[in-house]
Amino acid sequence: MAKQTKTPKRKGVIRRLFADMGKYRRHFWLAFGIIIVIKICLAAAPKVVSWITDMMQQFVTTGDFDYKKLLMGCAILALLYFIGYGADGFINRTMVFISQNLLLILRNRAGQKLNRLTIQYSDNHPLGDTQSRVTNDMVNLSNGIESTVASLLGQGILMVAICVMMLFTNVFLALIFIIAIPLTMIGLRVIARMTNKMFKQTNMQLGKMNSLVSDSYSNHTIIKAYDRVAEKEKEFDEMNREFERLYVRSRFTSGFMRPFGDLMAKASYILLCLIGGIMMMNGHLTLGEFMAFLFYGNMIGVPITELSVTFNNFQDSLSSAARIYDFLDEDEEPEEEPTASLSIPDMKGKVSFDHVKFGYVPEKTLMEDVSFTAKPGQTMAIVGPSGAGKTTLINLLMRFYDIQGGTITLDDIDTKALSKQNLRSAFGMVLQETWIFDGTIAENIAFGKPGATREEVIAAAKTAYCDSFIERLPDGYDTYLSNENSALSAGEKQLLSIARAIIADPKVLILDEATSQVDTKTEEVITRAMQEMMKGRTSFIIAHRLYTIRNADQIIFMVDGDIKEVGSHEELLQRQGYYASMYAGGVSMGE
Amino acid sequence: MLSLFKRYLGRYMPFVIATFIFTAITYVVQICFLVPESKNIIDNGVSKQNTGVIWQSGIWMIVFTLIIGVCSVFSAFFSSKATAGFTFALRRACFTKANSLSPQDFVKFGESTLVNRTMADVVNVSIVTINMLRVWMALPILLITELIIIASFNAVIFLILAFFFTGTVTFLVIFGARSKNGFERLQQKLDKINLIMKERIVGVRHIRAFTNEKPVDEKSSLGNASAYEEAILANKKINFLSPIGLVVMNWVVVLIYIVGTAQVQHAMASISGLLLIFQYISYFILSLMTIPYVINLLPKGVVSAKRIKELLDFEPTTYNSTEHIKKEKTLGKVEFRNVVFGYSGALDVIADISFTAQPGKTTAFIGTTGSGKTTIMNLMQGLYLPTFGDILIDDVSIRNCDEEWLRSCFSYGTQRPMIFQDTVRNNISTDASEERIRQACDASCFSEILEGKEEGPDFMLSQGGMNLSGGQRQRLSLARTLAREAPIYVFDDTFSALDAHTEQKARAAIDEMLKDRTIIMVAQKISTVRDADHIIVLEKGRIAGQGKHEELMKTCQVYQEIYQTQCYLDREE
Repeated sequence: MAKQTKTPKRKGVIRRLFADMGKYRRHFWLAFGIIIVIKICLAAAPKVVSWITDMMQQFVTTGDFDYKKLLMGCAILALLYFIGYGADGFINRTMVFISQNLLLILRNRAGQKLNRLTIQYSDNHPLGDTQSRVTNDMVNLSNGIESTVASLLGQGILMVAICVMMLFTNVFLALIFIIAIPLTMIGLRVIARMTNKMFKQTNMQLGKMNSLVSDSYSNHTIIKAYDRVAEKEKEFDEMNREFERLYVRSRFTSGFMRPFGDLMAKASYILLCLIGGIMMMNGHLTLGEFMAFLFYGNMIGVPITELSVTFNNFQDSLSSAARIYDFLDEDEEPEEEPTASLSIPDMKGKVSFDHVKFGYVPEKTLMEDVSFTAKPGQTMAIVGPSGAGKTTLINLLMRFYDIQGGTITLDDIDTKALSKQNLRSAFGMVLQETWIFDGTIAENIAFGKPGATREEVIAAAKTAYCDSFIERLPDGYDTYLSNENSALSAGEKQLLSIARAIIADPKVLILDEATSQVDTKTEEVITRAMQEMMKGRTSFIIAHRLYTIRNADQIIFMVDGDIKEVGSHEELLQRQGYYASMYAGGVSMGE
Repeated sequence: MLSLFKRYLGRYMPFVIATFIFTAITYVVQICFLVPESKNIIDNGVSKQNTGVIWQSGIWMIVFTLIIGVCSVFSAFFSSKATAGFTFALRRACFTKANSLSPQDFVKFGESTLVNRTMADVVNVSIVTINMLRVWMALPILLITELIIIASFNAVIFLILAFFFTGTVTFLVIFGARSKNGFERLQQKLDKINLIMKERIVGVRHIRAFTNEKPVDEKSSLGNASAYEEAILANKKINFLSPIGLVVMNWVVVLIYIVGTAQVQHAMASISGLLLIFQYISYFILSLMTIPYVINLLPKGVVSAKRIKELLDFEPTTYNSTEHIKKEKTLGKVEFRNVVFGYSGALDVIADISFTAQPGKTTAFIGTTGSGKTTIMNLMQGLYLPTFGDILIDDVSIRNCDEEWLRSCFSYGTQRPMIFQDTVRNNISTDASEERIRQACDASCFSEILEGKEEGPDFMLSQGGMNLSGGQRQRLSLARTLAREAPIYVFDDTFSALDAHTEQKARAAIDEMLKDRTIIMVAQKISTVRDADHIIVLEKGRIAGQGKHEELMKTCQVYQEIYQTQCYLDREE
């Protein structure tokens, strides 16, 4: 959990982004080059304007006029505008191209990362956080690259170019702007910093409201039945009021940014008009040069304001990038040792624990020294009070977590010598919380065996007693399922995951018998399907039913993540230990 | 969107008008007073060598700038006020409306879309609103004022400008709107990617257990690639839009130079006049630049507004009750008379349901899923109205009783425990006495769990109560039902998630605590119902038999079947 609260470090992110651009870096440099050309063109345009205006002025005073020169000036101006504004399209396109390619690379990499992350990571991180890193942050980053990078570079270059051109035109007037620009930017940064804090507060308030709203909506029935509506509405109103207050404050303050930028621009404009006017009167400035400065004054206002706005967005994108990289840097399951390529050709399904030692954190050992053997075809009932950490056993069998001592063997081969791929394909798993993905029923079953034929799917469905309810659906096996709103009941989903395990045809089964929220008739069907599947397979079953426990070949009794006793029902009763006392007390076998 | 504005922005009309006036003032002052001063400086100052005019102009310009500054601040203030108020009212309306929906209507919408409508959609609408107030609303004033001034002293240039400006705007709007579809398709692809990613994160154990990492990753990669294609394609259509607009408008500047020179040559215009026009054109260009932004923002806001309106305008299936009959003292008799009910005109979920639940007795319902048990529980509390037949509480029909009174008759334990993100105490009750809460916790065996928590009843629960186990959540939910004082207690399969031992203990305590109350319970296990005073067996929405356990074992076939399957599942018990 500690990792989630850590603020992502932005340092080095730009360098990494750049490195990940790979071959698209040359597109970036190309765009950069074009941006420079564009902005120089734009900065040069007012110079031409001044030239044309002076020509006109000359005509007014002296009466002689060169149409050719005017037309040539206009043609140059038209060309400068064409390049200066038109080529922006290429920049837009290139930036989109770069950002989308980068996005594709990062998305694919995040996808691969999901396959390599340790299960520990998934167990310890809130789903929502991981999800937002691989989805929202990706979009934020690409938006950032598309809209802020080119704009930051462009506006920066434009500002410099304009300053240079102004200096060339008239040093004295240029000084007005060269003094005004930093002042404006500092002022804008101050306002931006203030508003940032306020926006953060506003967003936090929005987050609070969001959790109140989703909390209230998911408990809609209770709120109504227990007359809590008024109370919740009062609570909501208070939050909403506070949000309104924060909103006004943040928007009002951010509303200062443009007027402030405007004010500075206008102040420069006034100075320009005054000083320019006096200089023109004294003949130190031509009308054309004055005109050029009016153009420059107008042009430079945009980059000043835009720079401070885009800079904030740019920082946001960098934070998103940092969060993505943090995710990509998470610990991975260790690489398979090259020797771990053994496969077992004719597997029997014998599973042994030999002096196994394990704890989720090294300092806190759960299992000190556990040994037992499940012979091929045996049923092992995992029993214990609720919260006994029965899933720990599954985690170890599947090598979701690695043990710290001893060995776990499959057909007398150390599971560490097997590739995880080979090991896991020996196991089939049906957990209480079913997992259905967006796709047809057939696809969901075939998930157990990629490339399975329709016949195989139907056969598995029949064995798992799914056939009858699937046939009743309008589209049969092609019925589209989605996690959000499924046409299936909880019991039917469970049957579906049994079919999925059957089609995988594993040697060892891991089952969870728990069937809460399922009515007795369906439960009976599920039980039958499970018994069907267990025939001829070694099974580890998290047992809740006395019948299952008594008929199991061996019972694994667990408390607090540790295996306390292993043996058959009779043996354990004779031992007079944990199991016997639980059995005698009639204490439930777990909730 | 307009109707939302009418309804919820109307109250803030003074703020809206104030924003409009102040923004308009800034534009008018700028166009009519500030900018022309530059012409004045050249015409009357520079040309006539009059320093006094220049200084005087300078002072006026400072005055105008100050006016503009003050007005901008006011406009920022009032627009913030109006938008905040509007957002407040709109969001409150959504929240109230969603809460007022009957469970039936609520499910029809779905929880997640309701959350989205109340939160994200309101944000989208409010973004459009503040932009509308600040930028777009007074923009026509700016453009019209400019055009009028230009027309007043140079008709030819006015015509050129008006022609090209309208042309460019039309071009941008048409092509911008055209690109919308591409972005909508892109959004769909992105939604798909998000969905796949979510699946992969949630199902990580399943994917690894079936060693399906590769195919799953291929599916993601395909999704990523297709989103990439769509993004490039959609952007292609807009990449050149604003550049083209800018080039055209700037070429108009060049054109005006040529025309202007001709005019100056024939003494039809002055250079200072042209200078003014060029400054005006820069405002045209700036306003033009807001178009792609509008095109981006507006559709999103409109879609969100539509979704919000759908919620707010939803006609709830409410009480038609005109009378508000209520009883001073409720005994708690519940009677169903030939009740028939089907959700929104679908096939009958239940039919011919008649029974009476007496105070001081326990009435139990048993049957498979889909047999209509929960529907009956909802009907008796007036959460839905029966299609035919009548339901009476203490001989008062729920069709013409007082809604509040009806609610006060029941304490309802839901099938799925519902937990607030709040303290244990507030989850159980906000108005019951400490004594009652303690009693309820004892009876539901939740006290044992509380003992393990340092904070006791102040223990904070996370969203959905995820920091409790399933059984613990169920016990908490049970405690809530018990803490509420009501003549009728409904337990909708509340005991199924409890282990046999806890169930026994809790049942005994509850029987003691609710001695003279009406108890109605839904169960799946015979062992839960066998001691009830009256058992009603349901199958496919019909009553298959009612009576005591012994009677039913003799007379009711469905009951016998349930009994036998349960014996099969638990042969030893």
